[in-house]
Amino acid sequence: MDSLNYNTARRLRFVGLVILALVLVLDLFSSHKPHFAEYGFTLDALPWFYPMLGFLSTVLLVVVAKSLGILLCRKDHYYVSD
Amino acid sequence: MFLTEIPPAVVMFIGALMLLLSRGRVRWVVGLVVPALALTQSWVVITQGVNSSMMFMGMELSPVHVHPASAAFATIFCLMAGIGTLFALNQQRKAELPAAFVYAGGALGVTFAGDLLSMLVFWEVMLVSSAVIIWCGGYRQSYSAGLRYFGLHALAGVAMLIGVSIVAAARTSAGAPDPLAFVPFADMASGWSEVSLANAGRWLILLALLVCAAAPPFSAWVSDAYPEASVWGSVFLSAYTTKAAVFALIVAFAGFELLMWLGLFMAFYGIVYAMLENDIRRVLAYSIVNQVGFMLVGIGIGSELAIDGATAHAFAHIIYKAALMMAAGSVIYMTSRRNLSELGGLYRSMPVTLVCCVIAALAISAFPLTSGFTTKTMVDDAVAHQAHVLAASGEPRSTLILVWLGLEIASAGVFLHAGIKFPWFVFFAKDSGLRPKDPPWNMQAGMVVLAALCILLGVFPGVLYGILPYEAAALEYAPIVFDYSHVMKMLGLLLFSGLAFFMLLPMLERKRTITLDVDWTWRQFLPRFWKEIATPLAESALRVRDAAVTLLLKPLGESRSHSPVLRYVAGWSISAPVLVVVMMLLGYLGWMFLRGVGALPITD
Repeated sequence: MDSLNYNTARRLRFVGLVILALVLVLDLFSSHKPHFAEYGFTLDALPWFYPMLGFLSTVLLVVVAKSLGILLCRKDHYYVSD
Repeated sequence: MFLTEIPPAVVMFIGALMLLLSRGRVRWVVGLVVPALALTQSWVVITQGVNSSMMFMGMELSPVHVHPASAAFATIFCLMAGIGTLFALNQQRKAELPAAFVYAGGALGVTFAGDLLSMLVFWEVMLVSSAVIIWCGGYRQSYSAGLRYFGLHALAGVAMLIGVSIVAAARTSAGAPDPLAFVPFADMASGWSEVSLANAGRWLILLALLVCAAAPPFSAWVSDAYPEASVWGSVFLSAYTTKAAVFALIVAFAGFELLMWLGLFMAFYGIVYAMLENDIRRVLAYSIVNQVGFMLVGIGIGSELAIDGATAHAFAHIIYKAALMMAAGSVIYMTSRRNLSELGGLYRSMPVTLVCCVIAALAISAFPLTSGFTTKTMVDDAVAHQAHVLAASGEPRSTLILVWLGLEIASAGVFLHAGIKFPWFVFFAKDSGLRPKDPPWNMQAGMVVLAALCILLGVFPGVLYGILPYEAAALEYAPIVFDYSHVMKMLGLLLFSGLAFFMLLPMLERKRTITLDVDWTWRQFLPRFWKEIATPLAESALRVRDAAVTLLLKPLGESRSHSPVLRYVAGWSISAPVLVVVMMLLGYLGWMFLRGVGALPITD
């Protein structure tokens, strides 16, 4: 059972999506100065670089953590039982 | 003059004694006033620039000395002692709070230690008192977790002792005027791989500090020990050991590049483990590893801005991590449950805890207008700034782009594991059916004060920037903190990380698992190796020996037991000779000591 009721959850999701869209729009007005221009690295000057980086790195981290989890996770009384 | 030279640590030690002797309301007053006095004394020392010196067994020590980073660390250590006490007013154990005061005093001592020996002594004080705090935990695992903690840190302490001795010896033979000085090991940055006695000492000190800073592979003690302390104890624990190590690294190893790479690794290590964990405080323990990683990157870079960033981030980190520990502690205190999988839906009944927790979670994620934003971005920007400076000086380092990118990715990861995961699974997610109230007033007050500080430092970072080691660099940085592009960068990064979190929510559902860390080696592998391989092997070896002895002695027949010498020797016990040897060693030690302090003339 979800702790938030269906309508509240829907409303929150809507507000969340509006905020995300707003961030995307506002990001276009950001100056986007590259941090490493001297090195020829200008990816971070692209619009929406940070939103994309945030999204992709999260997906990457979840995938990496989940796969390591297969190797590393044990039942939580692993150390206690013996 | 004399009063200004009292180490602020001593104020805390006296306070601990008073706490031990007082009861009821008096104890509350002592608990809240003493940290304030220690803070005042710290600032007297800082503003006067005290540099005390005393002779001890022929060594010149400086127990009170102001390092550039002392102001920020001493301030937060004292503040945390006071606020932690406020949170802990309702705890009943006699030893826990005094131990916490000794612990805070030890950390304060480290921040003002002018020589390596004083640093070491305060370090050992921290070790013993923090172990006592863990042992006060009262959980089934507290005792053994405390022992493991104590063992590992005692080893680190020994490494530090040997390191300090070697460094002092090497400096003395090189003719240094002050062989024990706690100053930057500047040669380490360039000649770290050089094989020399002095370097061996430095490496040992570094190793000990890295154990205490929770750097892998010796980070598992954080997640092993801290969650087994009481809900009040873990608040204190989260603040001191790792940050005192960060302080010592700032003093001695700033600019040692290896720390930058280690820090980057730690940032990811903490994230991956925190994402897999189910126990609330184990999640927070791993997020300490992650956050200290950011600080180590700053220390490894070593520029003025980077050191300021590391210091500021340690300051902010202590506040929001303690707030998160308090929120976790409140939930555990009110529900007696400690796993994310058993919690959920508490937002209705614990509004104060929820709000403080969310503010602290935003702060750790470096959300704009919270403390993490004004401190962590300093470290990020210090990396870019360093690359810029190096390029301008004709020695470009393109690997710094990787470090910078790594930090940005790790920032998203912080939001993922601490910023959303923790509050979401505790206060929302599936309804656990629990309806606990907010905790007692003092616990709420502790959280509220810390949450308010998170916002204060996020809105008025100048308060903190003014006490950083390189004030000029920090104040130069201050105007660009709230740049539009700066704010948008963080908002974009974090909010879209949040989007990914909710899209991947089914993959993140918590199960009742524990994640194996390096401590598996000494908790599982070594005991089983001992039991299942070493012992049987030893037993069979003994059997072989017995068989051989029987075989060899058989020809002697009965005569063996009739030999008068053998019969005489067989009656001897081993304890008497051991006692004699121990007495001789003690006597020798005492004699050497008396000679050392000058009570006996040195004739030879």
